[in-house]
Amino acid sequence: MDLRSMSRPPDPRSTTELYGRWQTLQLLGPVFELLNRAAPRADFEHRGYDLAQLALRLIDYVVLHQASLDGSVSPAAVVDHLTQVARRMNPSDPRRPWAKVAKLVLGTVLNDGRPHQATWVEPAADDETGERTEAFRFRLLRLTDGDEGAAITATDQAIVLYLQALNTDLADRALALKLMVEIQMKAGEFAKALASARQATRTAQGLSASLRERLEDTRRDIRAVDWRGEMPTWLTDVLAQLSTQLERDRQLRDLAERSSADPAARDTCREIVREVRRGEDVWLRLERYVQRAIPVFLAAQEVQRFQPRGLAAAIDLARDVLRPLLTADDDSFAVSADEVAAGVAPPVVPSCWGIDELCSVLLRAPAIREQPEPEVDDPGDLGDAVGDSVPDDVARCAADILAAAAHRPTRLSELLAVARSRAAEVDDPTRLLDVVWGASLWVFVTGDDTAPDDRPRSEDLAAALAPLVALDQGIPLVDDRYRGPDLVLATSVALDRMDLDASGAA
Amino acid sequence: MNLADVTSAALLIRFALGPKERPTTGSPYRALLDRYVTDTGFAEIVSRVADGLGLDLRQPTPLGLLVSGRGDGPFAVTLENSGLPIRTGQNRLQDRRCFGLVLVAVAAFAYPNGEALIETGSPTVRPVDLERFLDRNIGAVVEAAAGVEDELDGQLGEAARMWQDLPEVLPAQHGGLKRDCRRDYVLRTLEFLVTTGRARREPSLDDERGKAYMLNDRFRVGLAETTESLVFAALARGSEQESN
Repeated sequence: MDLRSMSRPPDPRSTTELYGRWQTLQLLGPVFELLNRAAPRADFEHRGYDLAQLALRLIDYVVLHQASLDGSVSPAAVVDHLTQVARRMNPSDPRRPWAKVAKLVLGTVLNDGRPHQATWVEPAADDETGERTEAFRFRLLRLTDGDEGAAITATDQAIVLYLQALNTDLADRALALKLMVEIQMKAGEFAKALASARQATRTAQGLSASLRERLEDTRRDIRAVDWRGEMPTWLTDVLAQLSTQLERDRQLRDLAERSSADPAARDTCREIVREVRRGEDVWLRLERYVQRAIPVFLAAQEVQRFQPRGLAAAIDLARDVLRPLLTADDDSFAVSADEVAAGVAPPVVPSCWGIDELCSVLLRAPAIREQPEPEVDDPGDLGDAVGDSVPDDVARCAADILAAAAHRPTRLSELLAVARSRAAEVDDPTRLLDVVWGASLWVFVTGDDTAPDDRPRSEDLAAALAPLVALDQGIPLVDDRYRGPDLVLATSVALDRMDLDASGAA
Repeated sequence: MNLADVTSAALLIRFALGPKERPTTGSPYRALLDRYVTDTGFAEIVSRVADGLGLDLRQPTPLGLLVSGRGDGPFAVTLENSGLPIRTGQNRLQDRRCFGLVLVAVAAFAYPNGEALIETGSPTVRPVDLERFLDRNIGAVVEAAAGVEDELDGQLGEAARMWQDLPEVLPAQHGGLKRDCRRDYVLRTLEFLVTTGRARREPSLDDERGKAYMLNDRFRVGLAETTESLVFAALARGSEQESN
């Protein structure tokens, strides 16, 4: 019932009814925000999904799965449910953004657990200057930390507005509970309905008890409760709604009695009827109590009318705490930071060390395994270097010499003679000879099937060698430096021609 | 008074001191907590035992009885011993300043005003949003200082300056973040709140803005108790500066 404080109508009273309808309109705001602002910016094709329907299904799901207002459903379950519905809305969406759709709907309606806010601007009266504004803060879903993890519950406004109708009195916890009982009974969830009915009775009892408490507080200390703010509206509403509650209870009893025709649910329905009767009694007693208390309330209201509200409500943490700390000197900062830590962190529990604990800690297997220093790779240790080490000038000159073999079949000894004659062109003539000799042997050994990695690094040399094949005609090489066969290097076409010529000559 | 009640009172305080203890339905903690709420005689014993131990009792919440250590007792909490990963040596000062700043920023971000501190509800915090909020406030202070002739007024303190000098993120070689960046301080603070039972990591609320952390009533109530004295301290500092 204290939610009613959020919906305190502004003065003058003539605008109360208008204000109520304005609130109803604002409560739909999150859905419009979802459709018009969040969806177009989202990373999926939003026109393929009915987001407003998903928002309604979200509220339905939360309400049907919370056994009472204290029961709850986890955010993960809600996201799962909405993902399934979104998938069924557009199963052929190639990007499969159903979870994103679900999170967008939940995120916008939940608003990160913070209240949505709207501002009522009260126009200036004819004989006054200046308008005034009043913030209206509301939630549709509430994020709480329950016994079994994070939980989402629907607020009374969400239940009443989104589940029943737009012209119902809002922010009425008891009415919301009864509506839940009705919905759950119609859905055949009699056990949950009974739990909700019990919750409704407890709400009535709690309301009655807290009202008595406040009344006692008021008698003892007339400033103990906030009469300027929420209290007068709260009381007015209590009186105004009692008849509604009683009427609603009667309807619920009828429904429960009708439902008890179902033999499976008969016992539960009887219990629901009993529960509703108990709730009715509480409402009746409450009505008498409030009426008797009215003179006390009036006196208290008179005293407190001009008192400002407490400091707590007026604090703006960013303005009053964070920003002063941003400019504070180091000592003041340290004191304040310690104070926040002391408020927020749990008390430090000093460790009590016995021999047992000490031994178990000392002998415990290490939580972090010791790892040896990683060995840094030294390119010199890695065996073959990538590519070859033929200097560019040697490669170029060797390519030039070997290219001659592509024009006509050439013996290795001739190639070596040419290489010796061109020794002046390179820095290391011996290397040139080695490369020419080595390349010839390489051609002989590898034949046609060379892998790309085996070819020389120099493109010229690779191109010169590519068309060549080597033939051993059994003639030994006569050379000071090299031994072995005096190979004939030629293109395969040239060798074929040589064979042809040889056979023709024969 | 029954002497067994003293044992029960001490047991309740013992449960309250465990950050992860929860009064689940049917647990001894729940039974004791219910008794604390309904039995004024028992509540009196609990408060006296707590008083002797140097503990302040705050309020019973669905997450348990909240207690806090008094500054002069064995349970006193400071930034240093709170469990925040503050390094020793040359980085200690930076860690103290940055963790302190982020902690206050989390409070101001999640609970914008006094009313939010009174309402039950669990706001979520995402690291990126929090950093943006803090930067915006630092920007506002710098902007305000630019319009003031007296140079001492509105100047950034050491902590805020140090924060500004830090890079936003500092990726480590093998994934994750190195220390000494803003994101790392924010994440470590939020993880600290999770470890101490003041927040919960909530993957189902993650979105493109990043990981979501949900603060709970323990954080809210603890903060609510200290906020007024923080505000008074800030006001006192302000008036002192004016008189100087």
